[in-house]
Amino acid sequence: MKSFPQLKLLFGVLSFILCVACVKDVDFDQADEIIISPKVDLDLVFFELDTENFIASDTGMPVSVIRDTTRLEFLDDGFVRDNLLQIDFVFRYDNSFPQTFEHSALFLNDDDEVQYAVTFDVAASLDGMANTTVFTQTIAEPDLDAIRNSIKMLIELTLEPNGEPIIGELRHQSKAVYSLEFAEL
Amino acid sequence: MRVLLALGVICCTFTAIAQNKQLLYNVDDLPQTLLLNPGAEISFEKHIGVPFFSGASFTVGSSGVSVYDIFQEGGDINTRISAAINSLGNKDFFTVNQQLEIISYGWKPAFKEHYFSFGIYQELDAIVYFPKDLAVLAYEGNAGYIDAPFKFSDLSVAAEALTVYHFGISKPITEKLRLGARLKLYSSIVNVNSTDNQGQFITRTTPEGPNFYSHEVQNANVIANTSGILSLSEGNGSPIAAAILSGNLGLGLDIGGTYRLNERWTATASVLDFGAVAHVKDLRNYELTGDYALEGIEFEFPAILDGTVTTPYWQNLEDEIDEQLPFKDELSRKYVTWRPLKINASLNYGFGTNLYGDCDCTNGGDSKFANNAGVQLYAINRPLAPQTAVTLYFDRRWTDNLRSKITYTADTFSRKNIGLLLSTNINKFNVYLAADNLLEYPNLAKAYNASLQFGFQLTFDPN
Repeated sequence: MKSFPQLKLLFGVLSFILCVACVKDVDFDQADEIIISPKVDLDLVFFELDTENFIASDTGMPVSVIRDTTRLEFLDDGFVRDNLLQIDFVFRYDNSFPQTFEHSALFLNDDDEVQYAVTFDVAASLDGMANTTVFTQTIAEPDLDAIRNSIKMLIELTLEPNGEPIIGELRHQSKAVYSLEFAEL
Repeated sequence: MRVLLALGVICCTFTAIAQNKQLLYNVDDLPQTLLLNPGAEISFEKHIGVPFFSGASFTVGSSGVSVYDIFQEGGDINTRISAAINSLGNKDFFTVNQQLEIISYGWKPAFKEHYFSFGIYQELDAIVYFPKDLAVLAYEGNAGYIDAPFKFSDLSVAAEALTVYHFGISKPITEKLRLGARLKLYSSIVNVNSTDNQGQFITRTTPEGPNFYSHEVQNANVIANTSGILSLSEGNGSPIAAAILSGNLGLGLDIGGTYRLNERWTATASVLDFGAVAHVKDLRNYELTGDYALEGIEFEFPAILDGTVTTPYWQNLEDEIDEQLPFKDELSRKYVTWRPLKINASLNYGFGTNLYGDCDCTNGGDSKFANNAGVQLYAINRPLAPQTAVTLYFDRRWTDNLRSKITYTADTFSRKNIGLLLSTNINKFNVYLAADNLLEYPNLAKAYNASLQFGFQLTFDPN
C-alpha cells in the first residue's frame, strides 16, 4: 500500500492543533449570575398655579381643594412590574402664597381605590418670595406592591386658610427614579 | 468534547479582520488564490473542486473583548461586564464571516495563456458594532448620565447571507504583467442593514424649564432595512430557493494583477467585491424619525364644578409621541447595499532553489523559487471605518507535493497573530488546511479572533 508522508504530516498538524486547542479557566455557569440594574430618571408631573386656581370662577369664593389625575400606563407594564426594585419620588414646590398647602399624591387602581399615598406639607411663603419645599419618598419592598397595583396618580392640593389674602403662585415639579433589576436573563 | 467546546467558543466570540485570507493569498498552487486575486500567478492548468468541500472558511471574533474577559473563573461577572462596557468603544465590533465553495472549476484553453474559472460560493458576513451609548443606557439607565447624549449613530449593523455566481479570466498581458477580472452575480438570501443612523437621546437639566429635566430625542433618523426575512419568519419562503436565486440580485467585480519587478521580486494587488445588491423583494423596513421633548405631564387642574371630564393626559402624551416621533414598522421600501470592498496587495521576494532551474528557456525565463517571503496588506471597507491588516509571511515548498506558509499578521486589535497553511498534493488531489491565531489555541477563551480554512480539490499542473 502506498504511503503518503505529506498527508500524515497534514493530519498530524491538524491533530496537534485540535489537541492543543482548549478553553480553560472560564466558567460559563456565571451567566446565571448576570444582573442588569439600570436606574431610570424620569420627569413625572409639573404645573404652575396662581390665585385663579383657588377662587371659584362662578362664585368668587375660595376653593380650598383642587385635584387632577393622570393614568400612568407604564406602571401596568409587565417589564416594569416584574423588575422594579425601588422608586424614589421627588416632589418640589416653589410657593409664594402666604398659605401652607397639603400635598397628597395618591396612587389609584382602576377602581379609583387608593393603593399608596405620599403626603406632606408645602411651606408657606413668609415674605411673598417663593419658598421651596423638596420632598423625597423612597418606596421599596414590601410597599412596592401598592405601586404595582396602581395605574393612576392623583395629586390633591389642600389650601390651609390662615386669614391672609390668597395671592401668589405655586410651581410644582416632580420626577421619579426607577431602580430596575433584570436577572436570569 | 474539548474540541467541540473550543469550536463553540470560537463561534461565540472573536474576530479577526474578517475575510482576510492572508494564508491563501499568493499561494499559486491553490485555486482559492484566484478568488483573492483574479490576476494571480497560478501553477496549474485546470482545477476541479470537490463540490461543497473545495473551499470552506470561517472567521469569528470581537475586537475588544474575549470570552475570558467576561467568563473567567472567580470574581464578580457583573463587575467584569461593567468594565467591558466601559472599555469598549463604539468602533469595537463583533463579526462573523463564513464562506463555502459549492462549485469550483477552472481551465486553461489549449495553446492559450488565459485561465478561465467559474464557480458558486455561499457567504455569510456580519458585523455588529458595539452600540456603546445604547448599551450604557440599557445597562445603567440615564440616571447617572444627565446632560450626556446617547448617540443613535452607535447603532450600526450589517449582516448578509448570499450566494455568489462568478466567472473570472486571468491573462498575461506582457512577460511581466498578468491581469485578471472576475464578474460576480450576487443573490441575496437574507440581509439586515442598519447603518448611518443619526440623532441622539439626552436628559437635560432645565433650571429655567417647567420640570427637573427635558428628555429629548433630537434629529432621530434610525432606519433598519431587511430583505429575505419576512417570508422566512412567516413561513412563506424557502431558504433553499432563495439560496439558488432570490429576487434580490446584484453585480460585482473583482480585478487584480501580478507584476514581476525582476527575477526575484513580484508585486500583486487586487480589489474585490466592487459591487452592490438591489433589494427589491421580500422587504421589511423599520424607521424612527423626528424630534421630541418630554418634560413630564402638565396638570391643568380643571375646575371641579364645571363638568370637565378628566383630561386624558396619558393618551394625549402617546398621541403626541406617535405624531412627532413616529415608529414605522410596516414599510416595504427598496434599498441598495454595497458589498464590503476589499483590497489586497503584496510584495514578494523569491529565494533559494529555482524550481524551474537556473536557466530554463522553455519557461520563458520564469523563476519559481522554493522559498518566498514578503509583506501583504489588506483592507476592507466597513460601515464605520475601513479595517486594515499587514502580514509578513514565509512560504516554502518542501517538496513538489508539500507546501507551507507561515504568517504574522498585525491589525488594529492584535499583535500576535501567527498563522499556518499546509497544502499537499496526492497525485492531483489537493488538500489544504489553514488556521491563524495559533498562539491562542492553548486557551481559546483568551483569543479575540480565530479563523480556519480548508479545502479539497483536484488540480492539474502543466507537467
